[in-house]
Amino acid sequence: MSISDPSGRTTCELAGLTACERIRAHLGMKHGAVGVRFIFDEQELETQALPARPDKPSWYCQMVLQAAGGKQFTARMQDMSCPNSELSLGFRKPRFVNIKTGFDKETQAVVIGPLENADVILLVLNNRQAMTMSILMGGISAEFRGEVAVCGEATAQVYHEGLPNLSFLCNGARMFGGYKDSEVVLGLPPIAAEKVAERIMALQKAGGALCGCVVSDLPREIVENFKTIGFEKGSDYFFGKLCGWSVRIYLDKDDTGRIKNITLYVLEKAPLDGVLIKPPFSTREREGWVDIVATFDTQSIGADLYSGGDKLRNTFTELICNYIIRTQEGASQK
Amino acid sequence: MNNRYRDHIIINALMRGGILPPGVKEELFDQWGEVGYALCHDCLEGRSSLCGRPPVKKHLERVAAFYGGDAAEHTFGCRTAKFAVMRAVREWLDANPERTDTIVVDANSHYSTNIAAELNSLRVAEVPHNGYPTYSMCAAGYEEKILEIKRETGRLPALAVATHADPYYGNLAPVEDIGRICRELDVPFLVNAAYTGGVIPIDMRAMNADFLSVSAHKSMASLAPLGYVITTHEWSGRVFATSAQRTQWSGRVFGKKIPNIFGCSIGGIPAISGMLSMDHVEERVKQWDRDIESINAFARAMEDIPDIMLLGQRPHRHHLLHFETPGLWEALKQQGKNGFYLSEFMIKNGVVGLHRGMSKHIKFSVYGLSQGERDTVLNLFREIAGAKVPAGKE
Repeated sequence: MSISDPSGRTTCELAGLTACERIRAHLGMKHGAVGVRFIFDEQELETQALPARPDKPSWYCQMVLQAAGGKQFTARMQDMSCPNSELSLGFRKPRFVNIKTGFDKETQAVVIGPLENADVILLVLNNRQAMTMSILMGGISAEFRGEVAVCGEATAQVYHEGLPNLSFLCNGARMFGGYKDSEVVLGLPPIAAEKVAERIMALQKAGGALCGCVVSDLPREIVENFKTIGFEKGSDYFFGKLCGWSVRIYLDKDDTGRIKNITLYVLEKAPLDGVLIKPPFSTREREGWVDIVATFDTQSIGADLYSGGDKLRNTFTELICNYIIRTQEGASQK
Repeated sequence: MNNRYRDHIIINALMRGGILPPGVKEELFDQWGEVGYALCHDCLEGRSSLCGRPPVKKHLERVAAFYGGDAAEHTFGCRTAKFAVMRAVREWLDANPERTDTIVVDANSHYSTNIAAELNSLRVAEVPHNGYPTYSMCAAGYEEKILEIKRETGRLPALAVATHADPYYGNLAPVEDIGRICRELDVPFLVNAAYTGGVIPIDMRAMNADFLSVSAHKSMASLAPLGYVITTHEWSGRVFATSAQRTQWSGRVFGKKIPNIFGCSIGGIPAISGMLSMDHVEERVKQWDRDIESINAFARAMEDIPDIMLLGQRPHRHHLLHFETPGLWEALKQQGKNGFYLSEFMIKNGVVGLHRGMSKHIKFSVYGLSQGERDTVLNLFREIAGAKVPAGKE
């Protein structure tokens, strides 16, 4: 799990494999993740072991791409070829242009490359990889103007707002930075990278069969929703208790695999004594067992499987408790 | 390097049908266990299935006859048997444009069926099962799916596949009826008998099957990896077609090799174990009716433990038993124990084979265990569930 240092920064470490390596492996990324750390204190530059400065001034976005290939830099304002980067990364306060940088203090340097203690994680992605990240993250905001991209949209904005942002880059990045037309840059707070990595691990663990295969495609939202009403997922159905009955809920699919109906089961050992069963419930015998069962169209009973919560439980409770009744004789037997 | 489970009672449903019969292990390792290519000393023709000494060729004829087929080859497991069939079907498609590259497969198929299809660029159309709590396949579903494909594409599917006993619930598919439908509709039919071939009597002619894939290490008391693909004269020329390649520069040809089984199959211990176990396998399938009766008795005793119910067909017709066990899960949760506790508890008490981490559902087999061993297993489940032995069943 994540380990935070006293400054609150995160080391991006997750169960042996770093979160960023896990993301890279999952996405099949060509480039490595790039950490960016802001240094505001001149003293830090003298007292800490930091990567060397670049040999000659360069574009920030170009340094990021080089770092994605394994290099590391500590870049100061003199090392920046692009005036927009100087502004957006807080090296210099804007005087003649109307740009809001958000930095209270002047940046002394940015460390580009190391993931440890990074303030922002940058991922160079292709379209498909960005799509996959969006799925893993439940959506990504893409606030971009095509002007101050890797430095501003993907780095500074993420640093200030603490939220991921997808940048479609700027002309500078495309012309001088070395980025391909198909590439975009996603800026992430380290904690977001860790959450994505955890999600990837959960997906990889998702199984249910001995072979490690996923044997049910019940949407996660439905599984979570049923959990809130006290129903746990079995292999491909749910089980729980209502009015003293052990209840199973199976979501029937139509021929195309879409969830169509909902079937409620109360399964009792045969013979079934002391139980009054009212329609729409009926009984089916299975060697040694009696299934009390009714199938409903989800819409007809107003069941919102995805987010129904208490209303869903009430619907099930009404159906089970009003239509399957233990008579006094049955109650005493039980 | 020690085998932690050497003296444990094995209840893993994958393994119960593959356990070597008494005496075979000793003979196998004493006589043959020293070298990897144990059966290749007297190979004259460059393919293990053609060996006369030891009599692999005769053994394969015996296997084919045992299953009611015309020809058999041994493979690196059941999955490669299915691959061989689908590879042959794929090539057959090239000459049969009236077929689609879609195959019809049951919704309880083993993953390796789907992987074999994927490897051969065959699309899979699923025949649904009937859902909770039996998850049974119905022959009519095959007819509907085949006709649906025909209606939508104007062409017949390339193949139908049925999993004889499925790996999830241990249900037997109605393969005879499915085979009849396939015969009537002119769709080649593969029965995957990985969990049944060598346990239950099988006659692929009665199933109207064109192909049968079996797993020797799963169900024929053999060591892994070993399987067989069995087919008819009609198809053997395609499935077992030999290499037609002639290399461009050296002019070499590999005319005895069968590409669909990767040239030459297993040449060592697993193949010999299959040969040594064959007598035992032929005998044991004759006792299947008695075996399944006692397995059902065990399942009923399990169901005497509160909130445990066997899923799948009733009475059960296969030794793989899948119970839903919310009661066990609840009991463990109340004790602050997670799903791993159940398998660890069993191992600590000398029983291995439950899937680690699972306690809402358990899947296992007691096939081939003595009554005493079954009682041990049953009593451990009773103990962990805090259940008493029902009166009259002590």
